[in-house]
Amino acid sequence: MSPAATPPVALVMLEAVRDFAAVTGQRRGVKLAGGIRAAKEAVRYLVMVNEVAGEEWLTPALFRFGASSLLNDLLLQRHKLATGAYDGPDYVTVD
Amino acid sequence: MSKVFEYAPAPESREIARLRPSYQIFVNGEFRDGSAEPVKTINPADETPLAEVAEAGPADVDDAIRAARRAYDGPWSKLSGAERGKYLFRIARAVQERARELAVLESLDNGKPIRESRDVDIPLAAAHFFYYAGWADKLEHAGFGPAPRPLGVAGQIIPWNFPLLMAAWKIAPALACGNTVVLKPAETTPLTALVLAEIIAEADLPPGVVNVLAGGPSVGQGLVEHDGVDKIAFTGSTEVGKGIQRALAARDVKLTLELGGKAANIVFDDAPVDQAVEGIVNGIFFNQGQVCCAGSRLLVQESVADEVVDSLKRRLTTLRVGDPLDKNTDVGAINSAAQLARVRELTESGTEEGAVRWSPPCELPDRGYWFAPTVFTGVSQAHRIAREEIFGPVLSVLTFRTPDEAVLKANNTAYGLSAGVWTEKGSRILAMAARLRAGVVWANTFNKFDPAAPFGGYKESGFGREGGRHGLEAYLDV
Repeated sequence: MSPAATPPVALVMLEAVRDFAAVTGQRRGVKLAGGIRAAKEAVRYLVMVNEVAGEEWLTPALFRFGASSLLNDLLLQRHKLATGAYDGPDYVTVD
Repeated sequence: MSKVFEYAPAPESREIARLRPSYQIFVNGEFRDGSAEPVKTINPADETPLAEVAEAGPADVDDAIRAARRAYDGPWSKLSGAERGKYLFRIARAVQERARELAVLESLDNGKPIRESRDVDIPLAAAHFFYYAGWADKLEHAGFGPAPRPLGVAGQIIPWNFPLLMAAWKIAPALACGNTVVLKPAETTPLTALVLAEIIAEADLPPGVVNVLAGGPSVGQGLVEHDGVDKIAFTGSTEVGKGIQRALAARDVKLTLELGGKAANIVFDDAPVDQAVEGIVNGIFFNQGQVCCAGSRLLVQESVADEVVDSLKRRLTTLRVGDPLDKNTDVGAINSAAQLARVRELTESGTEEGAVRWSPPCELPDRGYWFAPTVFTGVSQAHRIAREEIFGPVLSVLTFRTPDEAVLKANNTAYGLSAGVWTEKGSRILAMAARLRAGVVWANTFNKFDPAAPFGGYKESGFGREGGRHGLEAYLDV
């Protein structure tokens, strides 16, 4: 699907799982992949999950990111929190 | 409410407003103290005084109208349309340049969330000046004859719900058409209009072309009853509007009134529910519902009523009510104690008359004028909350079965300012728009404003149009 994970697409999917759960009582998970690179972007999606689908979806069983570059940014941010300085991109792997 | 995520406060600094301890009225190109006692304008979010504002007295009204007449007979009417346009473009650019200051000042004085003053009020005010600046040298092509004449001195009285925006709606077309202006901002929200006067002074408009008189109802009355005005434009309550029309009876004064409303927001069963819910929220909770065209009656088709109301309630639990200067705030403070009392009185009548009241759980600040977003279900057309304008964050939900019934109920009101239609079918939108007796019909959106679009009412919502080419007519001798 192109474009992959954008906020409008994520919104529709989250509304769909929310409505499905309201009708059937069954919760379905959502996985967003492609295009989410920065931890800051990820937080915006988490807020959307929280406000649209609800807090119950904020668990790995029901919501995931599939984005390897996001992991790298997360590692860089953690390193920054621990040391106060940013690592360069060469200190995380690009798989 | 959520436990995983909490919103941290994100307040805009009130320093940006460059609030001064006192403000003066603007007459004949000069700022001066008024002849009446100055009053304090307060911040409705915490009831603290913001500044002392000079109040105009009868002598100031007379001076302002004489100054406006001199400016009209003197330099202003001799200017070409292109030259008038230059002044308006200059004002528009200055409003943009000082947008942030004006936005914070507006939120302080009015209580509306900074998100709205920053993204709606101020940009739209600038847009109106830009739009009418463009018309100033093209009046002969506007469809009102080869050389339409201005009227003369326009007295303009504006409400407190969109203080700067309403000033722009009034001043921009009046100046573009070649009139001069005496503007009276609302008593509770004079600050941005007085800063606009400062902008106008800096734009070097000839003295007297625009005069701004802060003050209460007596100043408005003085304007209306003065024999020096050629035109009165009023936006406000239907009650005051009727009084103005009475006062102008048998006088050769052109009048436009933009009064109250009780708009129906009609949701059909084929409308996308989530989008409709966003529209309903924007329709009634925008500016705390203190909007004359607010979608205060939700008419929802019976087959989807439960679904829509459930979605709406879920959505309302995520609305953030609180500090108007916080960038995360969706719903701010009610403008005044008097308005809050009116909203309370009407909502209590809703419960008494048998409607079911619901509000999302939300903590309201201890001080200031606050009212939680409220939804009434089980409302009938006979209830006061379905007939009277509440002018607050209160939605009345009614149902219908057929399009005919929707039209019947939507039109069954003394007002007729706006309406909304939510449906997937374009043909149904057009059919409904033709049958709804309302000046504005929004399709799959609500509270959308543009300087190019005319705005105005049917029935007791007033007459005359503001905005667009039609808005010129109100300020031309046609």
